Amino acid sequence: MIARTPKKSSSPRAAPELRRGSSLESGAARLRALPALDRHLPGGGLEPGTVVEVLADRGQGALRLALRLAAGLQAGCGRRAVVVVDPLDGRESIYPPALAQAGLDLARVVVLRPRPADLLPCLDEVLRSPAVGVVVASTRAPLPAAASHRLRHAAREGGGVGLLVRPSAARSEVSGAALRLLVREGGAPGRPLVVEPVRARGVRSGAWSISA
Amino acid sequence: MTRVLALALPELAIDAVRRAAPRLVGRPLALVTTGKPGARRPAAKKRPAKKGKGTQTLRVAAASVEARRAGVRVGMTYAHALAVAPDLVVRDHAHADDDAALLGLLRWGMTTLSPRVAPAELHGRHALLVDATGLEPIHGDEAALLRVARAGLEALGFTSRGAIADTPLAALALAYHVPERGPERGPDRSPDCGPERDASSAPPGETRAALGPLPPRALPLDPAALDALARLGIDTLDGLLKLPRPGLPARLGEATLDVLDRALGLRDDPLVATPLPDVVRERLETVNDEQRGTDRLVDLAFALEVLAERVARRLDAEARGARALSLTLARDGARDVRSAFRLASPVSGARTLVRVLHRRLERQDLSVPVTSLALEVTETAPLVVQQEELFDVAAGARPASHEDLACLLARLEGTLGPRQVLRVDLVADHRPERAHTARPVSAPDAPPSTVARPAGPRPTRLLERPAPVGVDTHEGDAPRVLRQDHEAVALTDAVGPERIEAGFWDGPEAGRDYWVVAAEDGRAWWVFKELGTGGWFLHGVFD
Repeated sequence: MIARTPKKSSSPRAAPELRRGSSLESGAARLRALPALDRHLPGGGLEPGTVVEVLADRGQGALRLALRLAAGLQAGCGRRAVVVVDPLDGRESIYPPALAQAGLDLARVVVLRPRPADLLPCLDEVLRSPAVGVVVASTRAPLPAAASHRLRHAAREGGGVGLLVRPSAARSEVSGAALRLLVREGGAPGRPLVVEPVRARGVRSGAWSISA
Repeated sequence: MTRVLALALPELAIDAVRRAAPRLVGRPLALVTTGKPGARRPAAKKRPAKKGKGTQTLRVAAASVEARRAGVRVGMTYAHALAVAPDLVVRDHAHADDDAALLGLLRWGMTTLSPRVAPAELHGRHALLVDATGLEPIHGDEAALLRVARAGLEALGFTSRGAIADTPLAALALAYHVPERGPERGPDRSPDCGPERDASSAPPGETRAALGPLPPRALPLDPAALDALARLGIDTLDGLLKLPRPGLPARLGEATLDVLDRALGLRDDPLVATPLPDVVRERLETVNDEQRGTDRLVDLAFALEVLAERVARRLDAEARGARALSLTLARDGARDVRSAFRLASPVSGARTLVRVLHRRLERQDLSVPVTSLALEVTETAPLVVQQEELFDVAAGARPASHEDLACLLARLEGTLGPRQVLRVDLVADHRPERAHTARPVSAPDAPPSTVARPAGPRPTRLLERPAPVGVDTHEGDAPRVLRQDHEAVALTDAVGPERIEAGFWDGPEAGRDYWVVAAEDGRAWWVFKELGTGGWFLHGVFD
């Protein structure tokens, strides 16, 4: 750390953001989310300023997992808010008692209900804000590669963690997420989920069992 | 010993107009009204250009130094004034603007000079009275206090004269009637206006001597009393004070004696600090020389920055933040557009205010030129004292503040609407669809509830309206197959029932048996059987 002088800023180690690909192995402090996940990640946690995708079919528990991760992260993000983005669809909405059950402190949670057309600009703005520690968003809508990379940049600027819940069909799409977890086996409440990392540098592939 | 600082504001009306329209500084400006100058009457509705057909004559109510130099005098008719000074800029005189400016100055005085500040009026002209007792440790001696006060007013764009005396009335008289410096007598300011001002103050205990040479109208005496004095040939307060006291009430009215006693300190005349409404208001014109408004966003954004800067400075002085704002756009020949909104937490920084307001401005209809922009803080709250985070987990990211969050939320409210930016909380109610509240973040703070989380598992997504589904059951009601959307799912797991009895007022059918059901692939749903009808419904998804 002492060797980090402006002179060295051109070397790859001192400027991880200049390197290609995800930056899961750069030297920044890690954020602890859930022990069951953290122990598989390099550095023992998630990197601040990144986007994590959880890919699953509807009803498999991906949102529950994301909320559990958010609750874990909330404990370490001080005054920063947790923002839950729940696009309006007129038929159903995220159920606040489930947020409390996941362990989130509701006093520091803000729920956004954007119209589908407002979702991306809204996500971008929230991720970009230094006042937000964690963003949880669940969307079935397609996410173009350019938009995904914009969200990555936004998260880097804001320094928080974005948790995106997306359909499992999105696994073949290009994404700016630093970590993508595919839910292999869903878990009914009280049962563990089995997830598999799809993309993550420095992470050994395998099936991880996480209770959410 | 009480000491009172009077700050006379001889040009208040002119200065207030110029503060909202800075391009008028240095130009001859006159304010006209149909009433008598100084009379409290609503300003003329008509524009000066379309003036009276058989109605009252427009007269000059206030004139700037430049206008007076050109020969314009208070009380002249509008036509006369224009004939004397053809390049005169004429505006309607609005008492409301004067009042707003005075209120703003009161706030300024309370926060920078002394906690006890009161407005005062002397024959229709405005002043501030400041309790100057015991301020030495803060501002230094009286001369220093006077300098601080006058420099502050000048920075805000207000002409002032000041005097300190033992009583409010004496200070007021001295401030307005320093010999040879009445605003009517010398349209031009004398070059030696600096240090001599301080000489206008009356040292402690010398009120009588200081007031002596002043004219009787330096005190707020009745017009009738002033007339009577003029008839008697008494043109100084000295002369008035030498009249035999027992005869005064009969000749000049009871009020005269009262005023004299208060001026000399023989009768108590305490300063009563006025409670201020919780409003900060700043206005800026956006018209060009042809009095046309602007429809360019850049012009308005610039005006907005100036307004935010001014508001922020005022809030900052009070260590308060804006909790509710309103932005008003006055438009050429069209209705004003007002957008009012609340913030999730108090905000005081100029930059934050601009960021919050710019979003609102962008969304306004600018097809009609905008002639002025007014920013009003309608509710304030003490600023939360911030403590930097000891361990900022996100190293490298700048530390977040309450203000950042308030700003973000206000911007989101601006784009999404207040009903889409919510805080949620739990409510003690058995019925799942009523077990929580969602309030706009900008709504007044409510204490967090102490309701315990529900004991049974709750789905992450709840359907707005329970959807009827087909369910095959084992014996004992445990679901076996779930039929929805032309799909039959074999259930491998069914946990329940969790009986939820609603209030009796909902009728007997409201009781429900909830089941958590799961398929082999791990998908899980929340279904219930309605006790009254026996029908099955899907209520949530464990997504």
